[in-house]
Amino acid sequence: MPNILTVQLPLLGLLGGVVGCTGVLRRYRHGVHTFPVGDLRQIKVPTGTGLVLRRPSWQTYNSLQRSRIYGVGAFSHNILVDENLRCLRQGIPAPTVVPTLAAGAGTGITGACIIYYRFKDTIGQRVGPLSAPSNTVTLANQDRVAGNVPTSCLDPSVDAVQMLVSMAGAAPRVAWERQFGPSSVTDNVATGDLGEAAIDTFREMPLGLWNVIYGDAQWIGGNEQFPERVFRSNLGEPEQFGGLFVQTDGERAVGAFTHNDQLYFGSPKSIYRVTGFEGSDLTREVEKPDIGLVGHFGHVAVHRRVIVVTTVGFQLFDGSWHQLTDDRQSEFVREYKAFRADYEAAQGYYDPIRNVYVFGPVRHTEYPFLWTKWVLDGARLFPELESSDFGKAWATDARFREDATSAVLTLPSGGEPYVVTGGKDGSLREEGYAEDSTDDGDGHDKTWVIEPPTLKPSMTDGGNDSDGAIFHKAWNHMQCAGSPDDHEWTASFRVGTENARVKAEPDFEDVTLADDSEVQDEEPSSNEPHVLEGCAGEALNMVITEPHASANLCRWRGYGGVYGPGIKRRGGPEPGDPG
Amino acid sequence: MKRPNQRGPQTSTYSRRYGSDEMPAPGGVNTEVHPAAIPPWQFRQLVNVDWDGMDIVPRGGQLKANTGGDIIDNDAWVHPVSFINASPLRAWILGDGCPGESLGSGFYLGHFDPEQDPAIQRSVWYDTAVQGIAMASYGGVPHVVVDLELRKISQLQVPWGTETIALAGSAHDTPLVTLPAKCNCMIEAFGLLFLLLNNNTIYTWDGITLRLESTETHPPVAACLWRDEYLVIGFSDPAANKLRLRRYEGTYSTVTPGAGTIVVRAGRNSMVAHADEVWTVGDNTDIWNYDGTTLAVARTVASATIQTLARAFNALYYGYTLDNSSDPVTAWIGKTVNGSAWSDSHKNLTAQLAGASAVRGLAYFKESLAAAVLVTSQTTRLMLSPGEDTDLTYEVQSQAGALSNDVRYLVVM
Repeated sequence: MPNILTVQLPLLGLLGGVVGCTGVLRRYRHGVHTFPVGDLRQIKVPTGTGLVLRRPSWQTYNSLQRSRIYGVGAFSHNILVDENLRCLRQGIPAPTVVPTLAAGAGTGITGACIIYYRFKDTIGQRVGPLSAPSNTVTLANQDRVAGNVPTSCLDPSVDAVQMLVSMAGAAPRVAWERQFGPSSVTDNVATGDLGEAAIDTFREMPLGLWNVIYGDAQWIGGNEQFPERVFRSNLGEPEQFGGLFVQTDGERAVGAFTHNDQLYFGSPKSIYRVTGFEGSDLTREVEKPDIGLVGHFGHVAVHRRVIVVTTVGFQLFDGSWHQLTDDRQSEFVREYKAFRADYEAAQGYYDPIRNVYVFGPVRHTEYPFLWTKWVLDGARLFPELESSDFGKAWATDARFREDATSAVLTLPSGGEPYVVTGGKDGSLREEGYAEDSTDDGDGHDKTWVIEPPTLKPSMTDGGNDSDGAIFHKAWNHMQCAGSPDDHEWTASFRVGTENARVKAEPDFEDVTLADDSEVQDEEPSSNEPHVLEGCAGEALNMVITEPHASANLCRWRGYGGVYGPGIKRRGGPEPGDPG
Repeated sequence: MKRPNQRGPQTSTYSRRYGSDEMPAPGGVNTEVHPAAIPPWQFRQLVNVDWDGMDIVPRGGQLKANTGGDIIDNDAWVHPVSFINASPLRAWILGDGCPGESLGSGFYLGHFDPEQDPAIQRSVWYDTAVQGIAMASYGGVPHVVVDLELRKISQLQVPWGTETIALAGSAHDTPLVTLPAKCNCMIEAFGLLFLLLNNNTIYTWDGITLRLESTETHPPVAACLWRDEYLVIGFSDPAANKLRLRRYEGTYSTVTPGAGTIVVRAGRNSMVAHADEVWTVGDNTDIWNYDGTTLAVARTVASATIQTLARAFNALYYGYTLDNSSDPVTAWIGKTVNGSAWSDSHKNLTAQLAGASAVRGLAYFKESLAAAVLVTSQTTRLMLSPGEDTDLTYEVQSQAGALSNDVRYLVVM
């Protein structure tokens, strides 16, 4: 059962005259394609932590008994959800009290002592930083009396306090642990019996917009104060920041991904590579000086490779870089420039069932009023899986409705994964649902648009470049289920110059039609040859549209036709016309 | 070119049918070159389509999955993410017989976890066991004592929709060692597994060796950890009238009450540390407290049989049966934060669940207060509070098709 964490944003109407702006984190227990309210459980965010209108960045980190997901970017503090499904603020605060230490009347301890306190969440086995040190007391076979013991903490996950003692300047070690209650504790724990040492100094991780797990640590970027930095947590402790970070050459760090035990982060200008783990062996090199990353959420690891959204298009990274958008390079650059904010905020995911990579939503200059997604066929991209040839095949998804975030859900004990998408309208929708012909009421109806290349016949069979050809017939290999009367596909043919692309509302308003073009819109449901009545031109263009292709189970396998020499002059006299 | 015998105008055909006439499978969009220069298998536009061999097929649309239609609805979704707990954390139920199989033959283990389906399910039925079972986590792995045998359970990830017992039965545990007597309680502390045996002994298991650690005057029956320093051990025999404290380094000491007689209910749900103090219950009206100095009754609930305690949400909860002979028997949960103010009537379980007659076990589990509740002539239920709002309506879980099997106790691990 997947636990889906969701953020409901942003407005919680008028309540008692108070205009509230809040968000909610919810957990869902898996059902079969139904998400009843009754199966939702709210996960309370920590007191003092608010949610903001952004997509959260989540990273899962498991170790031993821990199984936690760390979230940044949509919260006023970095948070985590632990194995008990508690939502906690990343980083337990340090006690603000100054410990006091005095010699007690008992016996047992000899030597110079300094004590510290730190808070502990006993359910999650999380500890915070040390408090300020106490006064120094040199004991001579006496016991320790610790005062000013904290009896509460603003962090509600904290339920205990630990006392650590530094003996003769050694690293502080745990002497005792108490649930909140006593304000003074006497102990005589022998130096040799002291517990774990507090070696690393730390504080909570800086606030950021995105995170990744790499090298047993959490890395957070997108900090407002230091936008060029990517902060690394202490090893094995994703909540604890020890001061280590890497940085760009000054530009804003916008995203990161990992591959083959290396971390890559980038700005809109450059991509950088990080190797190593500790400060001593951590290196940062410039991977691509003049190509940057587009945001954080589009980069997706698939089959030991990463599909990376760069400023010059989608690239496949497998240790080397392979351009994926060479067939749409100019289009990508143009669209990225036109809708940069969309692209930097967009999300990518890999649908393992349909074997496609999907990136969006972004607006597109050719499809005004629609939110589009770039769709990449995985069968050709990963030939070892389904085909023998490496290739790249792109398509476009489009709808009026704006999606927010998609997630691939799987059951913990196996089962076919499926994709759901949260909408900006607050609706959760399952993706790839063929039976709903309306795309859940979207005004665009998931309309099919297929525009093959312009057909420009060879003139060796007759005709010439001036007169072109006469297109006598055309046919369209469309197959749809059900009654032909239910089919709604339309094939539009346009004959004219090679620039005579078909005009079809509303998607082609930017296309200038050739004056001498002719159009025949064929009626739907017929695969019989369509007589084109001898349209003349140097090229044939066609577009197929079907507003409910998925409901009609349409399949399209190509087109064809008959043409002859261009005896019908464009704009000239008809054959036999004496002129 | 017109053929020699051809009539009519000279014509040619063009065919762009994928898979025919040497046309490969349909490719993707190419906007990089002029439409007339695009290879025949590519496209100027492909919107809302997918590829399927030689065909272009539709991409499915979206199907609304939640019922609300507005951002402010109670089931609004915007940014979903999948999060699967890697380490199973379950609320284990130890009970009599086996639900759906037998009311009283042997003993069973069941567990509840929203990460599995069914959420509450049977794990093992020890149908021939006669001496009861004890259970604890040791090193993150569930261990169980069945009659005189300590066993380690290998937790299974069974397919969604399948009960563990259907796949494994009793075959997913490994016998480790035979004990000299019945085990009343097990608990992990200081890197060891402590076994409290009915022959007045305390043994430890370190994963390899079973060692006799202490010989007591009475059978130890329950224990809890205190201050991360002591294992506190309780006794159900009134003649014992004490608690035993076992410090981490191995020394034992005894605490006796100044007045009254302390008895502790057997199992894992009758002793707990809260607010740096030890609290115990023993099938009577009293809640006992040991603050490090004094062992005394902290609270008495008239006409109650208090059977279980738990610490959750920085408060102490206690479950009890109220039987004043005049009104129907009812099951309750009481609450105190600091041991000064008490709310005995914090939650009336019977008011929500008719027939609820006893709270056998309480435990904190996944942001809920979980209660194993005995229901008269019905299936034992697991009731879960809505987060820390432990006085509101609980979620009720029950084993489908179960008999009214009694529950011994509840362990989260």
